Amino acid sequence: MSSAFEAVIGLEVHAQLLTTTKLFCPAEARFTDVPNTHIGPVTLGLPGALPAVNEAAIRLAVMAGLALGCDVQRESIFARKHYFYPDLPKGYQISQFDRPLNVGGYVDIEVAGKRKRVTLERIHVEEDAAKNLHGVGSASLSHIDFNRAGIPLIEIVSNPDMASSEEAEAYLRSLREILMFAGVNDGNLEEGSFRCDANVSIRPVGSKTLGTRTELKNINSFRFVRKAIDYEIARQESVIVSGGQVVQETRSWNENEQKTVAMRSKEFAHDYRYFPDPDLPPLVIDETLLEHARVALPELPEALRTRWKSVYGLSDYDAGVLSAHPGLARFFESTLAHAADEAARADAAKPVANYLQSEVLREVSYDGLSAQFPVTPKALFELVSLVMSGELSSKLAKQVYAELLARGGSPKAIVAAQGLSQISDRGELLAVVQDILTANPDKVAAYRQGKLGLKGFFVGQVMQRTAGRANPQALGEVLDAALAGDSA
Amino acid sequence: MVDGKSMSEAEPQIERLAADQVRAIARLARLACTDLEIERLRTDLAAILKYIDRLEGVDVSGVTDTMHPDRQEAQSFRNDVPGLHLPREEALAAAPRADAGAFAVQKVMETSP
Amino acid sequence: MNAASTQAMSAVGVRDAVVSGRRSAQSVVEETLSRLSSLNGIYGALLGWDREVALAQAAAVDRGPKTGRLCGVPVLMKDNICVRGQEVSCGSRLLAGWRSPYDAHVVERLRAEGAIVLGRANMDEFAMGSSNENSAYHVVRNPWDLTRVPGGSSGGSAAAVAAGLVPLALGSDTGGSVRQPGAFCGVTAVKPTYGRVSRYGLVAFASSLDQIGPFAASPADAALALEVLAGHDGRDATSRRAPVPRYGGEIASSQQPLTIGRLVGLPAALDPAVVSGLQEAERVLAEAGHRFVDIQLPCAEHAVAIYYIVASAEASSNLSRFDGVRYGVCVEGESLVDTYAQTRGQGFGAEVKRRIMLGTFALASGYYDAYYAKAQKVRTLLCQDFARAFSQCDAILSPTTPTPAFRLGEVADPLSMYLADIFTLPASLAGLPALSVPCAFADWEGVKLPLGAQLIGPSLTEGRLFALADTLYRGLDIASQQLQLPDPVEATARLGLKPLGGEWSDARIAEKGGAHV
Repeated sequence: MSSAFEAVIGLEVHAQLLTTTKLFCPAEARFTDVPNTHIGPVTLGLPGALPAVNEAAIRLAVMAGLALGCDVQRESIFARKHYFYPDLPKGYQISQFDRPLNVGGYVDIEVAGKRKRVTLERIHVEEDAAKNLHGVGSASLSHIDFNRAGIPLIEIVSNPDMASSEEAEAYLRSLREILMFAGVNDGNLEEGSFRCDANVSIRPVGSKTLGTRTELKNINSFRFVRKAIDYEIARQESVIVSGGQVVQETRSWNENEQKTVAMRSKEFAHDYRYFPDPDLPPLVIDETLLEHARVALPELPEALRTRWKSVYGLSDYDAGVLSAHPGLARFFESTLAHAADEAARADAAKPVANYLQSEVLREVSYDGLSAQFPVTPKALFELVSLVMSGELSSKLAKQVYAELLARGGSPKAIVAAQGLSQISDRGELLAVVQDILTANPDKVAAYRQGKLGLKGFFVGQVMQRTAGRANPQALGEVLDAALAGDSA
Repeated sequence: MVDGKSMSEAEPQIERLAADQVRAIARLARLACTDLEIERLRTDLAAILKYIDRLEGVDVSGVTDTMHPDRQEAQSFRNDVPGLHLPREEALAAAPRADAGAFAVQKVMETSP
Repeated sequence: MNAASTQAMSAVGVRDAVVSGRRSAQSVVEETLSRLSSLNGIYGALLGWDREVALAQAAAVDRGPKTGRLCGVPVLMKDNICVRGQEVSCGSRLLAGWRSPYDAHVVERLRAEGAIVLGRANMDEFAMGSSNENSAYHVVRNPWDLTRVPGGSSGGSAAAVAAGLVPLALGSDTGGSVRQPGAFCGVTAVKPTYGRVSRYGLVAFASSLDQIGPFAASPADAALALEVLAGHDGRDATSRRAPVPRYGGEIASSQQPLTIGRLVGLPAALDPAVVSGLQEAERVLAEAGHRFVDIQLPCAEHAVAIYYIVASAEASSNLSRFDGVRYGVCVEGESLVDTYAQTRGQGFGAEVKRRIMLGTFALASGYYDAYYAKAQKVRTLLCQDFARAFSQCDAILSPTTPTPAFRLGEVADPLSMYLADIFTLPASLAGLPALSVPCAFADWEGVKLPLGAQLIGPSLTEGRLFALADTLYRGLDIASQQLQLPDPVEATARLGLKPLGGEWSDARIAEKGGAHV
């Protein structure tokens, strides 16, 4: 973008709440299963069906509000938003309009070392629409799957606080991370449980008025968000520079053609005719529900990283890696939880962090908010502790870890069973050293005459004799003393 | 009939609603109407709206809306536990058109808002 | 044929007979089915019934422990109440042949108490109307004069009970759709407190107003029915949690003298017969020790205006789901948009379209504040009027309707039809319990026409209203007047009427099922 214009970007994110059943229907909220297998009278908008609010969905929405610093409204209103479309079973979507559940809030982002606060307008609760199926049945028909219809969503509406696609991406990543750590959303952009629309406009630098905006849809990856926004900013600029006017419209990112394309507008203008849903009394959040939400809200990633750095002395990098997924962060914390006390925990943090990154991480698999680890936190802590106390060498620790992966069990038991414990006892080491020196008088003499490189030979001999169990540091000291002739 | 004179009052209200306005509402409500129906609706709606104008004179400053009469004491929530669910075959059997395990409609040319 | 001898027994009578073993539920149902076969063609009260399903329910009751409060009692459903496996058309072409895959809450309650859920009562399409002439299928004839309407929208339910076809029927009342046909047909008809009966499984017309209510000949039977129907249901977010009293018990217990508000000041042109009927009602209540005061509801004069905005707005929204995609009849057009418009344009009748149009207009941007929001505010004022009134009295007495039943085809203008609802609308808008009980059978151009008295109470005072209605029912000897129903066969012959609807065969229903036109 030339310096003459600046971009103004606001994002609307739809995030599915991780409930067992739908927002208003007791059918299960599993939208990737066989089409039309999780439907009930309410899902399909059958005559006579009525919405009944899922308490878990509301609790999760309140948790999202708390996590994002919103003002949680003690009374909010469900409203009907009307339009006719086959993905909308009732001819209206139950959403919130002028009185949403969460008002305000913010997400802090960092781009190129600069911190910035993106403020939120609101977070409201609504039901998801059904899904058009592609590639099934007759090509002359559109096919509809109602599994997704009625799944609880929160829509997080930011203010137009972002000025670049980098900021937009950073915002999305932070938001996704917070929602995942709060346990309200699994952050899956590909399957569409976390979806983003972007409102983009440009204006002359320094101008206070907003330009005409376009709404970008179908940006279901972080990469697409960047590309679509950058494309759109450039497109709007060229429209204006060539004397044209930006048209307010909805545009879709076309990944194949690498451009945004105007979506076919409806036959006539929308008039959503919002009004309070007469089937649903005002949504009242009482102190009990608010307290449940507060208690259920785990430590959020930013706070977690700050604590890890200040209390455990982790580096920015380590803290970042270990908080990349809530399951990983939880595993790290659970591992440290096996320490006897706070001091031991602080001592163990870095070695555990290192071990996680060097060995464990490559074997971790993620599914939504859950993560599968090859070892238990208890085993990992035990393994790292053995190394820290000198009972196990780092080298043999790899062998123990391989054994843990293959057959499980406890590191201590493996060390005992396989006789892998490190020899740190100086007397025991000295006996071995003396044996070796006695058997190699010529090499001892050569060493003492200055061939200091022979030390490696003696170390190798001791390691061979002890099957690698000699504590390298203790061995070095004992060997040095013996070669110096103190006790030879 | 009650207050029978209001009908005759409504008659001069020819211009209350234009036919195009009625057509626009009919489109919004997805109701196909013949010209005759539009004209009939225009007359009826004009008379009803004329009658409804009586509310203009009521002072409602500071009055809240009654969305639900006699509002209930406590919030009613549903527990997040699976309940009545419809077998796919039964649901699809009621559909005017179903195909490949899904509800089916003519190819959609527009986009969801 | 002597009409009285063919009439159904009272609900309490049937229940007691079945529980005591004097009669089997199967014999009750057989007799009911035979009445329907011979008489429904005259009244047109039912759109259909399933003989086998009814007999199977009766057989199950006969095999069971017979402890239900409605053991063996046939109860007719208005055709907008969902019964699993049964067609529910709402009196509309658009929903012809649709079979509900689930039971409404009230149906579950009735089954749990041993009732026989039987038949589909004719109604105004989607419960919109005051004469039952908006049924897409056929009219219903008022049993007291076959040339007159039974009222609406629950006209089939009211006529069926009045004609003695069944002891109990359910209707739905949004602005008077139970009370008004109850008055026109000379039976007891109840609109409970909003939220007292779950709306789950009632096809919605206007969600903030709809309530299911029973029809019965006597207040005692209606009380028994409501006892069964009422109660909390988590599937309806507006359902009330208050425990359900034994309404029958409140009738039986001795009556405290109450203060009854005589509703004055409503600008309604009352028929003289209505005035004198109401005076009789006052006399009987006064003799029973109750005191009268005049009360006013200043905003009630706006009830029609408020109602037609609020109810139409909610209806326009509620009826959006009828798009021919997931159920019902679909009329294919040139595009999907056109298919929606054709399906709805051809599927809905004139009155339904009129209300959808009015409601869509009232909710449209630019009009919302002036219409919908304004109406909801005046509605608040009306609720406040009631609150003031009930600080001075325990119940309000008024006519149910300004006139007795009018002739089929007599009222063609929609607004005139709406204005006649002036007495029933206020309680609906305020969510208050109200009932209509017959207070007179006026001699009218050579026939007897029933008139109804309406009693409105504060929230959840149905028991009090039943007790007052029972005082009227007994004091005015309504029971014996109800038995003087004209012989339907003789009247049909005299008037040269052709049969209506008749008994629908399963084949005909199947033929219409899920049709793709």
